[in-house]
Amino acid sequence: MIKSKIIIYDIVLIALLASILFVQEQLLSFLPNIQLTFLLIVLYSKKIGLYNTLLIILIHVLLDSLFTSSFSVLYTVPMFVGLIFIPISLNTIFKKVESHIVLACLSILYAVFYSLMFLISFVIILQVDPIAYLVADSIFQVLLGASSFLTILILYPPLSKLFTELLNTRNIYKKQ
Amino acid sequence: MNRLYYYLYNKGESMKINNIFLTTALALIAIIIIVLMINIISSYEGATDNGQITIEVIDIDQSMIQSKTINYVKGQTLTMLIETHFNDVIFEETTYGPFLKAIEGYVTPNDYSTYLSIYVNELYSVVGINKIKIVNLMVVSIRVVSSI
Repeated sequence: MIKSKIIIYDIVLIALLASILFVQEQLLSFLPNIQLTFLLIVLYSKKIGLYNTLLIILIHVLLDSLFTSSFSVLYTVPMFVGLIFIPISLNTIFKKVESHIVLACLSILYAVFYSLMFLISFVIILQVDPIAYLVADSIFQVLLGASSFLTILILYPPLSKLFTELLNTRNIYKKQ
Repeated sequence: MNRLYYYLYNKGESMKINNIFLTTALALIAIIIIVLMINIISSYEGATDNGQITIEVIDIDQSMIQSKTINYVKGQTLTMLIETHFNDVIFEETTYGPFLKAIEGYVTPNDYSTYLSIYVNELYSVVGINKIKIVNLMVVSIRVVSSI
């Protein structure tokens, strides 16, 4: 009985957090590469664990690809790979990282990795010149890195505290 | 014991203050970078000299819909030339700049099953249409391509 309650709670939580992730991205789509996606994925990775975060990312990527009509190998695959790198690394090699400043610095690495995934896909499928692509994309990479850095730096500490309090109230994920 | 407690407490407080200063300084740097990058993205690329370019519209089956050789003057952009010299042109404004949605009777369907792709001198353009700087004797191909 307790186990099934946890499963239901997980499903509701995943649906709710995935919708927050998707909606914020659409609301901020008027600004180029400025969003809270990296902040939220870092937060989810730290608070609700690897598997739940992977499911949220899967839902988000599918929804985003269908909503923007970009469901193809060219966009969907690099987007998914670029985003799942965050929870995987934060639950393995960077598991002990808790400082918001270090997490903000890591977000720059995530932004570069995310952009490189698109570079690989564009070079393989569209056979674009990788150097030309990197030069053209560099401004957007910097913007993505800077916006992720800023949002994690400022919003991660209060959101992390809030998340911990909310999860502990439900007595689920108490260890986190 | 009291002395140790006092030392640790003060050390903790000073670390907290240092952390706030560091966070504020880093946040300010990030804001400056964001503003600079948005400024660069929103600037358009105008021609630096007078010259001639060819703009062609190619259908999905590789047939030529329209091809025009156009004389341009300093300061003109590719979007200006397309809007002036071609029919049924529709640009959709996005956060990444204008997106060419329709030209010469072709209209991008709502499901984006086909769309317009820009090639410069036979190479896929890695920059948006407003970022392509026109140079003399350049050939710009606007191709209808399938998204699948």
